[in-house]
Amino acid sequence: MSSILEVKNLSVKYNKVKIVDNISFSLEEGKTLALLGPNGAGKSTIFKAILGLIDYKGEINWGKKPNIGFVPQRFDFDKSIPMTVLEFMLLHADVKFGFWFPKKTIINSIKKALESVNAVRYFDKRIGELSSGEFQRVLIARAIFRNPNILLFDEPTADIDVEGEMTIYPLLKKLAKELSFTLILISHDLNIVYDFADDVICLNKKMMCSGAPKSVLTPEQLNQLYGEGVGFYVHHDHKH
Amino acid sequence: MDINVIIVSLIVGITASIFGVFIILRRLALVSDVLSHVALPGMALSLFFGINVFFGAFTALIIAVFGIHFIEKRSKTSLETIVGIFFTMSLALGMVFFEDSEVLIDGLFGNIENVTSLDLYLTIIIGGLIIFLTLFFFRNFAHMTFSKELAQSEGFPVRRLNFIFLILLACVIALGIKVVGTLLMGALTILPVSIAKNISGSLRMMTVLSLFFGVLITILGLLVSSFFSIPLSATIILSGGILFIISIIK
Repeated sequence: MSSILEVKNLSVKYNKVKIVDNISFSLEEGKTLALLGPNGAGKSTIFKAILGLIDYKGEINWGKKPNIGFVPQRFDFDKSIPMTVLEFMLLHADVKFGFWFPKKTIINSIKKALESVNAVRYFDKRIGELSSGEFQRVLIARAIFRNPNILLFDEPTADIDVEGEMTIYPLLKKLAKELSFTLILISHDLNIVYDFADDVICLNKKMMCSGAPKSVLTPEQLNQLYGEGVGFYVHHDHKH
Repeated sequence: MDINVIIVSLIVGITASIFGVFIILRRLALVSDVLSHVALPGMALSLFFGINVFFGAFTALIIAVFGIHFIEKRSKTSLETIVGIFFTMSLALGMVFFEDSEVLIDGLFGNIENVTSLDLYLTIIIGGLIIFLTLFFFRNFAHMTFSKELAQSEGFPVRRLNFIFLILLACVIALGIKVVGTLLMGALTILPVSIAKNISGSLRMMTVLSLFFGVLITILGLLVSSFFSIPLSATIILSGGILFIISIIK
């Protein structure tokens, strides 16, 4: 299998402080890679570098022309803005699709993307009225709407309803297979990484480990990453 | 009533109601209100040099907008404080430069009685340009307003768009000075949109309704002003205020 992304010696500084220090990894097409690490470990910064939003040292090379879909971590927005889910999707659409008078084909493909995340019933709803779980589904639909070949998924740190969290990962995995995109996810949840990622990179500014979750996420490694006393319970009997 | 007055008032009403969508959504209502006062010293200087007040007002606004932007980036002073300083300094400078207090009152509250043909052409050209550019960049502005971070991650040139937005903001405020004056221009940019926002289910509907209310309150203002000989600026803003109160009663 060919590699779709190769990151070599990536370093990012912010206000003279190193946020990411000399990270290298490569990602094969169709695989799922998880970035794991404590808060402030530089996970979101790596996403920003991949998206080309910040200056960095090192190399980010693509095996084929990337079409990146991005599901950001929860961000603040004014819930009183009367923007519908359709309008929110249209903001992202290509300019030729139109915002004021979108073509029928565009509306259909938006509906299709929403359908694939079980969110088509929110089509006319105002964004501000959605629950956090519903909004995350819309964000995923928005990211896959333009058929990306790589999807970056930044897991929200808080306020996702439990039901939403439990169903989102199998859904992502299913979509990745169906729409054949490569997935990089940032996760704080070890079980999620264990169950859904083919490879994991443990980060704490520097690269602490990399490889298949089952072989590298050892209690010793996790103690090193998060500090002593962090409990780690893998649900070996977890079925999906 | 002079046809020029009607045309100028309507164009200002339309421009303010369309661009105002982003003033409200970006929560800049008070900033636009404060900025509208910043135009005063510029207007005083244009009167002194005998040029159209639009140019003076626009120049003062541009200096203020970029001054505020520059100081905010370079110092630890909060945006509120910087805007407050610019605002009070502008009023003070306005008082120094305005030799004739009647002219100062006109600047504050507008005086549409003497619309020259230059005023008319300027309003048509500048107003038309603002409307065109706002609609042209509508999707970009909406995206930037919803989430700067998301817009940036999708390759929208947020910094450049913000620059265009600030220039348009200065133009909109300068444009309204003749009709409603500096004191009330802030209100004209927020009233139609606020009414529309209260009753809209989508961004597109809100924009269309804002345009409708912008035209409606201008027409109401023109009618009431000519029937009862009350200054136009007051009747426009009061019509908007009354409609706003109605829109929040459910």
